[in-house]
This record gives sequence, C-alpha cells and structure tokens, in this order.
Amino acid sequence: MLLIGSNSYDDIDAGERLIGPNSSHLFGIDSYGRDYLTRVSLGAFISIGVGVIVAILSIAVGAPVGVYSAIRSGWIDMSVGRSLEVLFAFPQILLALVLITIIGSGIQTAMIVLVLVYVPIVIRFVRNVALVEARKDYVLCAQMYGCSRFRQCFIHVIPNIRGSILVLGSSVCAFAMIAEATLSYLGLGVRPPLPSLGILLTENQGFLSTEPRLIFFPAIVLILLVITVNQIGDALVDKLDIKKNLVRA
Amino acid sequence: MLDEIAERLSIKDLVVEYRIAQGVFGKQQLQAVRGVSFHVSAAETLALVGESGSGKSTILRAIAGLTPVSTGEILTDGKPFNPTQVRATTAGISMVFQNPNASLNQRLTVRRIIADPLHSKNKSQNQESSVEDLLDLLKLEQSFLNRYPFQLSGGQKQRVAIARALITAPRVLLLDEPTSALDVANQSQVVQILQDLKRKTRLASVFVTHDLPLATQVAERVAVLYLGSIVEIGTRAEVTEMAAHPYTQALLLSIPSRKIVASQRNDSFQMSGEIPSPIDVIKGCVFRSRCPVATEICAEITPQPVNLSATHKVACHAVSARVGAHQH
Amino acid sequence: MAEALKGNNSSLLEVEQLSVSYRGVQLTPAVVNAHLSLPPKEIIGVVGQSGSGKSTLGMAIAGLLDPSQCVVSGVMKLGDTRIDLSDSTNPVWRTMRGSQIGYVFQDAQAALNPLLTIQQLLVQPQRHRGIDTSTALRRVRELLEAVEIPDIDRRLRQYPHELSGGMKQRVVIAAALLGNPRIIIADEPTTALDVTLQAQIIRLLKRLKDELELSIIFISHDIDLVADIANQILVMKEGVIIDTGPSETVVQYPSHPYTQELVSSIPRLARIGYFNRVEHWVNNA
Repeated sequence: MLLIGSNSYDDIDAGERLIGPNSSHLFGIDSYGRDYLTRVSLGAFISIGVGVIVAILSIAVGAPVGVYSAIRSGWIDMSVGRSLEVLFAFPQILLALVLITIIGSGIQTAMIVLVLVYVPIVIRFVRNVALVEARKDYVLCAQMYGCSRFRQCFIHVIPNIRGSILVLGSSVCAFAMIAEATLSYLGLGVRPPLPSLGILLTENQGFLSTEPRLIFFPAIVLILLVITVNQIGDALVDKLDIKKNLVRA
Repeated sequence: MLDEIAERLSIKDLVVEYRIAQGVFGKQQLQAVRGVSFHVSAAETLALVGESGSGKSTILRAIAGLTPVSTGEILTDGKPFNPTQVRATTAGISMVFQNPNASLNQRLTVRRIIADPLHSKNKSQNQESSVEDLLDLLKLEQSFLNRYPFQLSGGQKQRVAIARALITAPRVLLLDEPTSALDVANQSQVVQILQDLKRKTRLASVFVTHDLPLATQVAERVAVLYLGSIVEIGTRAEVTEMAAHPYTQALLLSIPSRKIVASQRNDSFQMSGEIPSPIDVIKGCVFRSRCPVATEICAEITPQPVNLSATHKVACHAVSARVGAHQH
Repeated sequence: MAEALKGNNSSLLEVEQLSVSYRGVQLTPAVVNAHLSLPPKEIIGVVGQSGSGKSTLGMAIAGLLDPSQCVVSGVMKLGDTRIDLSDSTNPVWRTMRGSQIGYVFQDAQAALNPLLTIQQLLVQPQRHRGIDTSTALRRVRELLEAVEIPDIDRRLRQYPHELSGGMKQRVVIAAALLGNPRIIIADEPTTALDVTLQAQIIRLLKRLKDELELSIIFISHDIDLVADIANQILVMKEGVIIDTGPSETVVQYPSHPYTQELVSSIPRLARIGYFNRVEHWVNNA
C-alpha cells in the first residue's frame, strides 16, 4: 500500500492526542491519537481509487451504448434518448441516496451506486459526440461495405472520439471523488475506521475552530486531487495526438 | 458468361424525393432526382456531369444505399437490387468518395483501411485480391501499408480509397468527384489508373463530375444533368461535337476557350441567371427558366427523350420539334 | 490619391523581393523572393497548385497577413509611394490599403458578416472613412448595378445567407470596389462556383477592368482560366515564381518543365460543335 506516513492509519497512541504538526507526525495527530498524515494519505488513496474505478466502469458501460445508439439512429436511438431524459429528471444525489437505502452502504456499494448515476451522463455525452462522427464519410463508407455495427463502434468511431472520451473520463473521476466524499460525509459511503476524505471531514467537523488543520488538510488534498485528475486528462489527450503528428512523412 | 450480360448496372426512372419544411406548417416535396434512367456496360465508364443541384451525387448515394430511393428500379447484371435491404458490396457495387481526408479513418493504418471491407459478413462471391496486389495496381509503395493517412499526400490517400473500394472485386465502381480535391498532376494519375483498371478487369464505372472536359477524358459516354433530370446523354463525341440540348450548349460555351483545342464556338448565347431552387420547378422542363428557346409547352409538359442516334438521346421540346421537322 | 498613382513609370504596382514565412516551431517559407510588376489596365494571373504560396502572395500585397503569424519582408511601390512590407503598422500603408487595393475573397460565405444586411455591409466601411450616409448609399447602388445584381432594393435588405453563391460573390466584388481602388486582387474568385456562373463572373471582371480602368491580380489553380482573362502569367511552385510571360506564350509554348507538366495534364476538349446551334433556333423561330 502506497502510504505516506509512519504508522498504520488506526494505530492509536492514547498518550498523545491532538498534537499539531511536528517532525515525526507531519500532519499532527487527531483526536483519537492517530497519525493524521497516514489517515489523510489513505483517504486520498481511497478517493483516487473510487474515482478511477467509477470512471473506468461508467465509461466501459456508457460509451459503447452511446456510440451504438448514435450509429443505429432510428427508434433505438430515440428510446435511448427518451430514457436518458427521464433519468436526468432526478437529481443525482437523490438517486444515489435512494439506491444506497435499497442496497446498503459501504465502499463497494458506494461505487456501484456512483457508476449507476454516471452511466447515463456518459451515454448522453458520448452519444452527442458520436452523432457527429457517425455522419462522416468514413463511417458511411463502412456501413456501405457491410461493416458490422460492432466494428463500426469499436474500430471506427470510438478511436476517433477517444480524446473526448478521455476528457469525459477525467471529469467523471473528479466528480466521483467529490461525490464519494459527500456520501462519506453523510455516512453513507465508506465506513469507519477506514478513512475516506469525506469521513475525515465528518469526524473532525467539530474541530473547525480549535484545530482547523484537521479540516484543512483533507479539503486541500481533495481539491488538489480533482485539479490533478483534470490536468492529467487534458495532457493525455494532447500527448496522444502530438505523438501522431510528430511522425509526419 | 455472366460477364456478357449487356448491362452491368441499369437504372430505370429513379426518383429521390425529400420532404422539407416550408414556412411554419407546410411540408414540401423536393425532387432531387426526377426520373433518371441510364445503364452502364462492362469495361465502360459513364460520366454524370452537372452543376450544383443537378442530383448527380444523390444518384450515386441512392445506388449505394446512403440515401433512400423513392421510386424506381436498380438492376445489377439484370437482377433487381434494393439498396435499403441489401448491402451495395453484396451486389458488386463499390464507391469512392470525393474527399479522401473524410473517407479514410485517420486512426487506422493503410493496410487495415484497405482490408476492412473483408471483415463484413455479406461478402460478394467474387474472387478477392490481396492488399499487396492492390497497392501495386494503384502504384502505391508497399511501405505505405503501415503508414497512417496523415502521412500520405492527397493523391496517395485517394488511391488508398480506390484500393479499398476494389478489394471486394466489385463489378460496378461509383466515383463521386474523385479528383476534385486533388492537384492536376494527381488528377491525371488517378484517371490513368482508372483507364488501366477498366482494360484489365472490365470494370464498369459511373464517374460523377462537374468538369465536362474531364468527363470526356475519363468516360466513353456522358450524361448531362440539370436539376435532377438527364437532359442529354450520348457518347463523348456526340455530347461535345453534336451537343443538342440548350443547356449542354451553354455548358460548352462556359468553358474557358483554352480548354478547347479547336474551337468552333460562337459566344452569342450567353447564359444568364442562376440555377433555380428545385422546389420551384414542379412540372414541365427543368431548364425552361433560363432557356433561350423555351415556349409555353416547356412549362407544361416534361419533355421525353428523343433519339438523335442509337446512342444519343436528348430531352427537349425544341429538339423534338426539329427532329420531327427533319423527317418531313 | 488616384492622381498620385498615375505617375510616370509604366507600372501601377511593383513588388520586389517579397518573402513571407509562417511562424511556428520553425519558420516555414511560404513565398520566396517574389517580384511582380503590374501595369495599369492589365490583368496578371498567378497560377499554382495548393501550397504554392499564391494566396499568401496576394494577401501580402493586400496587407492582410497577421504579423503575429507571419514574417514579411520586401518592398512595394504603389505608384510613387515606396512601402516597406515588413512594417505593417506604417500608417501610410494602412490608409492606402483599402482605398488603393481591393481584395476579392475566395470564400464569399466567410467574407460576409452574416449578421449584417447587404446595405449595412457596404455602407459601414464608407462611414468609417467619414462619408455621409446618403452619399455612401448612392455609391452602394452604383456598385451593385455595376456588378449586375438585379432587384437592388430587395437585395439591400437581405442577409448574406439569403443570397445565392453567385450573388454573394458579386457582393464581395462590390465590397472590394468600395474604396475606388485602382488595383484588385482576386483570390480564386470563381473556384467555388458552378461553371456557368464562373463564365459570368469572368465576363464581369473583364468588363469592370475596362469600365473602371482597373488592374487585376487574378489568383487561381486553373491555368486555362487564368490564360483566358490575364495578359501575363506567373507560375508559382512551392513559394517560388518559376515561370512568367505573356499568357499566350506560357500556355502554348511552355518552356519550364513544371509549366509543361501543368499544361499537359489538364483535361481538354478536342473540339466542340452543335446540333443546330441555339442562336439559329432563336433566329428561325
């Protein structure tokens, strides 16, 4: 486990509590005597993990559906469009809460719920981009020579919209991280003593005026994570295209 | 013996109509193609020549199944073919598009682009060539196989598109302005390649262009289209040396004089005005609004094609009248 | 201004050692050492394939290149005035640009502001120069008549998208003539048009040249079209003018191998003829 910090996340040293940052505990110690740096870093790790897994799963499910719908057009596309509209009538968090009450809380269920919430968003976005791409000559040509819809989707359209999908993926990752923090804050996501950034915020909200660092550190880390994820997404898109462009004949 | 059925591709009374919105509540029929008939034989190229709005590209797209056909018959080797139900390649029809940048998947290598049609289930029964053979046929280097489209020039890209169209061994090749986006040098190279192909494989092709001199270089027979109708069709000599329809004559006169080696032109008929919208022309002759010899009958009745020779047909009331007068 | 241009020397416009390079990772040359001499009431054709630099040459002369994107060097003599082309901020050059050199764009659709009516499009530039509205409007009507646009009152109220391709191109030509220039640079003005329209626009340009005593630099990829309209031809390849001469000679007896290649690969008709020429019908109706 990639942990920064000296101790395990729930290693309680009852003798020392609520001590500010010092040389052996860079983020100090929390109210239970646990090393805060360890907890924050583990929380960050969990947030990234949830973000990435949710993003990958949502894209893996949503993108092909979106592209297939765009290629099919006709009534299949229409029904997909209408169902999406119905789904979007519900606010996301409400949807998440309802699903969690049915399924129960915990990190795995939190991830499943988030995937269910984001898949429609991915489908709508990818469908819009794919609709434009699917009207282009090379796709029409493929349809004309009998290319199967599967190949049209994965060999023709998706590789040409992968930039957009990548950016979408990084956005979903960022949103998922924040959503996970929110759910955990509400006590519906990751369960203690596992530290998620949201849980850290919940646990320590009482200390906002006395030990602000307990709120400050997880919040800053979350913000930095979101920014970094978005930047990575943008940079990856550029890198993928530049490599191609550099190899000009 | 299948090869010797006279007509590889036969189109009868093809009509392509669109419904478009007019005003707030109205819906109007727009006839992009108004009852077009023609045929193409083995080892022959027919050129469809016209300006914008002539319907020449729409005809190709309808045959290829990219645009729905409203009414009309399409026959390949004498057998009826429905483009909406059957894939064009199964019927032995392939198409090359105008812009090679748009018609090639930029993310695939040349090899994968050319070989892609072979992955489809509905393949025609014909013998398929290998990718390498096609590259040779189209004078492309074998080293291109692993390159991407952006590494090739415009002419090379278009030849890759042609190779892709040929890999299913089609009996009829449709070409939609394949040289318009190319430089003159590349243009003549593509034309040369198509001529070679015709000789070697007895391929029938339909070549759409707005450039009449190019059409005569590429095709043995030329059809002139205006607003969705064929106004004149004949051999290349007939259409350029015995041009009968007023529109064909105007087209010839619009060509810069240097494009005609030996000129017998007379500039007295200069066409004015612009091509009207197809919605405005419902009955009668499509050309009447700009025709110098139009009469009342031209506004009422659509002229039927009249034979000036076994191969030369013209749809014009004035020409019909003159042919009738000659016979008396 | 017009008087100053009549000058003593035989050319209206002279360009010497014009070079243009595009900025980027490296400096990419687009035009290399171009020389051009435009006599009054004459048409010079610039012919080249795509990427030959012909459009860049035209834009450089008209002063339309963005200095942040290109490096321009060279000297231009407009009548008696000497202009250093590398200095695009020269105020003399800026005032002369619109009034001495008119530019006809290739893509009429992109050249006309879709949010303005034809009247606004043509009156505004004149107002900028301090001309009052009624004079400006009169001039606009004159110009629209000169470019053979019928039904002027209706057209003035219309927006560009309501006009057909040929009409738009005529409006673009009218816009180029607004400042009463002596020189017009036409960049592929007929490429996007149908063949029959092309013939009309070419006739129009020839007529305008005679009536308004213009000189035209006509840029195109079609050497036959250019030879039809121009007295002199410049052939460009990869930024360099590789051949020049009277249009008859360059097309009939091309000396440079590239020109020979260009001329020989163009599809041509052997001859044309008619089954009862149409004018016979008109006369024998």
